Order: sequence, then structure tokens, then C-alpha cells
Amino acid sequence: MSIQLEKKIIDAIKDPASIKVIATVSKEGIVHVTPKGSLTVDENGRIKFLELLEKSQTQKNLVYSIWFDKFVAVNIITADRKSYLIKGKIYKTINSGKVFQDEYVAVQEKLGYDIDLSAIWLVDAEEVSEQTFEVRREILETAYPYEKHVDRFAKDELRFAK
Amino acid sequence: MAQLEFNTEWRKKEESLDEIIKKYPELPPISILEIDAHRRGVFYTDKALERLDESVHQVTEYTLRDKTQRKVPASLTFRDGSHLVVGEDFTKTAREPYLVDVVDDKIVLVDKDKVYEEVSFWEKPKFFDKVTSRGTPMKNVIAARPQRYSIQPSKFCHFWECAKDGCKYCSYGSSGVKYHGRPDDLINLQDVEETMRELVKEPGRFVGVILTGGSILTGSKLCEDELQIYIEVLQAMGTVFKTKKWPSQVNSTALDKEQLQRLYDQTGLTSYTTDLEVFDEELYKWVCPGKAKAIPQAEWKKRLFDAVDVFGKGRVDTGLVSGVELAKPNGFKSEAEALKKDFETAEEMASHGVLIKHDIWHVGDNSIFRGQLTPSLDYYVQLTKGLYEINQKYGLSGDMDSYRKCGMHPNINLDRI
Repeated sequence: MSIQLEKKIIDAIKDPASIKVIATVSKEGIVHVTPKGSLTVDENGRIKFLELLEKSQTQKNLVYSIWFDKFVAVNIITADRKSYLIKGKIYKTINSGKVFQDEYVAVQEKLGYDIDLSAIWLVDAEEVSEQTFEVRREILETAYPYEKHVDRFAKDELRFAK
Repeated sequence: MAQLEFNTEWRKKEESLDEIIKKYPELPPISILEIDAHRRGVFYTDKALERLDESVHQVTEYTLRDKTQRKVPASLTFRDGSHLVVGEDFTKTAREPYLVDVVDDKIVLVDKDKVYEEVSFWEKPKFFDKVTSRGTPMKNVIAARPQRYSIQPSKFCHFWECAKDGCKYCSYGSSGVKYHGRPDDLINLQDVEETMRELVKEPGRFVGVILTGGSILTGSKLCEDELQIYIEVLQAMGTVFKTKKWPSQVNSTALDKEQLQRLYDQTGLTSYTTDLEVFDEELYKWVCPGKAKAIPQAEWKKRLFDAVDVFGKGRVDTGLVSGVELAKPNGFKSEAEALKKDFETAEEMASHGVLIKHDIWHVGDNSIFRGQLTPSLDYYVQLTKGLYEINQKYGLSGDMDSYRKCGMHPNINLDRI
């Protein structure tokens, strides 16, 4: 089931200083991770990004995902090193019509007239989690208090003795 | 609302869409739905037609059997960006079509009250509203799908000079007869050039073109006049491009090697198609008698192999009108027999570098085969899967005839992943 993204997540996605990557999987089950500078949130709250190359592995994997109802994952790394993981399913791709052509023109005006646009992709978010290290450490070490190395339980005078 | 009457008995005899989707988990459900929608056609509800905007969408006008006038979307695009190439006007199957309806504010494909997929209407290019300096509406010069444009150099097919020689599944051949000997049988080159000048002003609109029309058998040797019109049209089109070669496909009568070389050398053409139509030689003679008399199947195949020498591996393809090999009374008696022969011929062609595709047979009212029943969905899915695997086995990419450049070839559409 799709969910609405919180404002802080939308702000992180839309911040030009954020680094955005997308992970997809191929029909052979091989994971593929690429940066996606175009990734944003559209007027309906869906994650939207562009694929410029028709024959790219990401494009193939996205088609595989929409055909076989597979997840894709996006990670947003903010300027202050926070990390947000969004898992979702492809809603649709747009590769013709006015919406596509307007985006095509915008891409060429921004990146140059020798750059193509293959498709616009829209993703429904289904799960969001913060992956910032300190946040995950707190959550996981609270949930699994004994899944740590023994030296971390030792008295400091012993643990750090020379 | 216009009413359709169909016999629903077929549902008791055939596996349903849901059953076929379950039976072939290795194929995308959306692609199986597309195959079935191609096979059964579509019909638009009044609610769906309220979403039709003639200033935006491409429209088809036609008359139903009960004389009701219809103005409907040209066709539909699916969520995965593939295009269904099925006009309501050629939905003349014995099975009831899918309904295109509006549910929860979305345009959707529906069968027996079950919503299967969200779809959208095709949009028209801007040049459709313009006319050439000769007064010809540009939409009559160049036709369009969402990502591909097409040109018909000739309307009259010489195989219909004698009606019994026409291909029996063809709905266009008989309607093209009225152009025989008329000046507007051949396309006007000035109209082509002017329309092309407008077409290339639409950024992001098209990724390729196909030129195809009626066969022309005349000239100093067989099909020489047909070759000449293709060369002239391609040269007129080429005036708008800065490169010698540009994305393009000709689907013609099978030309000989010397003609193919001229077609390649003198134009911007990058890929070539000539369709065998029926893969069994005896059935080819029955279904396509004119073609078989002019160019026997063995020669047709040789010309395809020659085309690979000229255009390159993966730049030449051939198709079958899938299902006509089961037409009554002379067709195969079982779908299994038909598939066996189709795969044998496909393997032979692919082993010579010829890409294989199939077009789902629509039984048109204007065709000699009118009233026949097309095969089951199971046959079409098996054929699609088998032809896809044969192309893969021989390393044949379907780019020249892909989901963007055509959309009517389910096995090639699977190439996307």
C-alpha cells in the first residue's frame, strides 16, 4: 500500500544539496545502484525521476519492476549526512505525450541539445525509514542488546588497559 | 450507449486471462493482457468517451454495424509505456472486446466488471492540425502512433488487381482498390517534405518511422516501380535530416539483392522488413496466392537473407500474421501443429540473422477471412514466448521494431528487459 511522504522527507528530496541514489534489480536478480539527480516529488506526492538512456540497465530494471511488481529503493543523503531510505513500487512510466515532451525540452535546455530523454518514472512509496547511522544504531542495539562484541561489555579499566 | 452483441460461449471453451497469467509466471501479466486486448479488441464506454479531448487526443471516426456513428480514441497506452495498437473500428472479433471505462477517476481496461489496468489515450502531434501548401491535411500525409510516424507511399496493392489473389486476412487491400489508376494512389513528395519539416519541430515526439503501402509489381523488373517510390519518398524525407542515415524502416514486397542495395545506398534507410505472413509454404500459397505466384516462399526467404547482407544482422525482420495458419478450411487443425511449424520456420530465418515478429490477426469485415475465429490466448502466449526465445538464442535484438517503433509485436516487446 502506498503511503504519503512526510514533509521532512519531501524537503530532503527536493534539496539540491542532497545526494539521491536508486537501487533496482535485474531479471537475473543482480542489484544495480545509480545516482539520480533528477529525483523529486511530483504534485501528487509520488517520487518522480528521469531516465535519459533507453538502453540503460536502470531502464531495463525499472521495466522489470513494473512488469513483475518488484520493489525499487531510493536513498536520500542530505547535506548534514542524514540518510532516508524509501522503498516503493513503480506506478507508471511516461514516454510520450505533452507531459513527456515538456520534460524532454526542459532536459535539453538544462543539459544540452545532444541529451535524450527516454522516460519519466513515477514511484509510489510504500515504506520510509531513516538510515542515518546514529539513528539505526540506537534502534538496533536497543532491540538486540546482546548482539555486540564481548569487549564492549567489559569494565573500562580492563577493556582499555595497555 | 452503442450496444455490442457477441457470443460469450467462447469463455466456456478457452482458458481465461487470469488462468493464462497464472500458467505463464515468466511473462509479465501486463503483456499477456495486451496480447488478449489485441486479440479481442476494445470498446469505449460513454464515460470513457467523456474524457476524449479532440484538441489533445488522436481520434478515429467510423460507423458501427448498426450504423451508429462513433468518434473514439485512436488507441491506448499502458502504464509500462507500451502502446496497444487496436482501433475500436477494427474490433470485429467473435469474442466480446475489453471495455475502456472510467473507475475511481481513472481510465481503465475492464472485463466482466474486473478492472485490469489503467490506460491513457494517444495524443496527436501538432502537425495534425496543419495543411501543406497544396492544401493537403498533414495528418493525411503522415500518420502517427505515440512515438512513431508512418508514411504510406502507395494505396493500391497490385495483388488485389484480381481479388482472388489478395491476401485473405487483409482488410486494407480491398479498400485500396478504388485508388487503382488514380493520381492520388501515390503519395505526393512535396506534401511529404513539407509535413516532415513540421514534424521535426516537435521535440521528443518520435523515435522512428515506417514506410509501407500496397505492393507495386510493375517496372523494368518485378517491384522496380515500388522500389523507386520508396527511394523518392525517403529522399524527400531525408532533406530535413543532417545525417546520411536516420531511424527508419521500410516494409515492402520482397526486393532482390540489387534493389535492396540501391535502397540502402541511395537513402537514409536503416532497417528493412518484408513479411512472410504465413510460415507454412502450402498455406502461404492458399492465404497469399498473389504473393506466392509472384515470389515463391523460397525466393522470399532468400531475399530476406540477402537483406541481412545489405542492412546487417538485427536490421532486417519478417513477420507472420499469427493465427491465419489456423484459418478454415485449409489451415492447421490444431494450435500445437501450427506452433510447431511457426517455430521451425522462425528458427530457420533467425539462424540467418533475420529477426522474427508476429502481428495478432484481426478478422476484418473487409477481408476474405471475415467471420473466422482467431486462436486462443494460450496459443498467442506460447507463440510470443517461443519467438522471443528464438530471437534471444540467435542474439537478435528487436530494436528496429521495438515497443516504441511499432508496438504490435508482443514477442519483440519482451525485449525491454
